[in-house]
Amino acid sequence: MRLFGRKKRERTPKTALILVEEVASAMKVENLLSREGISAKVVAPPLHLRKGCDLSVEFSIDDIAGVERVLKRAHALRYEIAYLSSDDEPADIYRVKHFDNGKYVMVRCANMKITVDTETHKVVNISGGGCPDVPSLAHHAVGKDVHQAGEVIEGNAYSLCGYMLKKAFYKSRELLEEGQC
Amino acid sequence: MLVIGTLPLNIPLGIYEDMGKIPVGLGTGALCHAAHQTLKVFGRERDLRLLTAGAHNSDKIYEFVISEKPQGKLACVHYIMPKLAPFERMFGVLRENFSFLTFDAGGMYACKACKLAKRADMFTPDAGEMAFLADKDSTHPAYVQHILLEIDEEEVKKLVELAYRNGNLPRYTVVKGEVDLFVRDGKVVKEVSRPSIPELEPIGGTGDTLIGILAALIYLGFAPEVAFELASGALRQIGEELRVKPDTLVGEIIARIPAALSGALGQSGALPNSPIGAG
Repeated sequence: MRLFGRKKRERTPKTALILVEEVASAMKVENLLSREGISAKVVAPPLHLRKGCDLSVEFSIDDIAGVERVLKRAHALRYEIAYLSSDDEPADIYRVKHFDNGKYVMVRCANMKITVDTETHKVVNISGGGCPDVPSLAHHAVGKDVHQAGEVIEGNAYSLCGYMLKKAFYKSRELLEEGQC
Repeated sequence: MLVIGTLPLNIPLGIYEDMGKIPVGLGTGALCHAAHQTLKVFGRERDLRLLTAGAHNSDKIYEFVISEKPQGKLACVHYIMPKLAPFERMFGVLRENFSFLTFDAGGMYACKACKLAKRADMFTPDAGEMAFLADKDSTHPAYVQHILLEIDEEEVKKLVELAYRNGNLPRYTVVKGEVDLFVRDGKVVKEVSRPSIPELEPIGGTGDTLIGILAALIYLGFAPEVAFELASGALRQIGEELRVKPDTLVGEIIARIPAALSGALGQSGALPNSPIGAG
């Protein structure tokens, strides 16, 4: 006879923390995120991550692109995002591939790829990913020059895939600016 | 055939039958149009249903499936926010009501993260996503550094074995890449590599197109291995004929599916003769 029922293992999403310097800022961040429909809660950060304030705001890493967008809008806010372990940190390396004698360059970051025309500086294709903001970002960014496409991607990415696309986009823009394509 | 996924539109939650209103670009739109064109070859395009909502409304889709319990032969879960708790409940409903379940994009990420891969029928990752499936703990491809490395065919086969050993592959898996692989029970049993068209990789929606053709053919009763060869061959043939470039849009490819598929069917003599899910 089993005395205790086997507890079903909870599968909780990975979380990260927004570290701020003042308690009021933590409250403000929680409110800002909640208003945007991003689930967040004020928690005590581990000792080694404290940044002047005993509070931090916990959120699901899946929402990182949306979190960054909301925080960017709150211009005066000073914050830092901390991952609880290095395994939780999204990939940060890139793969670059050239096509058609360098006319096109494709940058891959994790599961996202963006391809730009090195002559016209237009985004010509976006591929990969699996989160719902990706088709929307592609719909609005493909065919636009990198500056306009950047506004679309920065302003509308809200998932982890969107976040990786944003990183791939920054890398492609950097390559164009440096003339490395 | 039911496709489940969000669209980059402000569209109310519902089941849609008219593909004329669905955008063709990257994602569930490309998958639906590819499936539609495939079914059209057999005069069965009216069999296609799309359960969709706008990009921010994955929760509504989960709730709809859980409460309305749609039924059918084949369901394909695609671009949806991978939320584990509602996904598990949705999966239970789909498993009871459909004989063949295939997952790609966010649907596949959630299915793997919920450790439900063994109860699904088919996954369709690209070579990079195989690294995610092989990683027993990762819940999203964004965490897998390995995904960035050049993964050659031998490496993909090792990842397939590892993913299967870890319980993260269903009975069938199609790995999209320079060489497309068909995997049954953890073993690569078919490969398609010709013609080789590297320019298909940057074109957004080519993977979705492959899955649309593949799922529609399985729905029609083609054995999954046969459907794989026809779908992969047709897409590569279109790429070659169109002389695709990195700025080609996927709609141009999808428009050519009926001609390419008719040609491939004529050459292979394949017939839709297996009951769905068999093989």
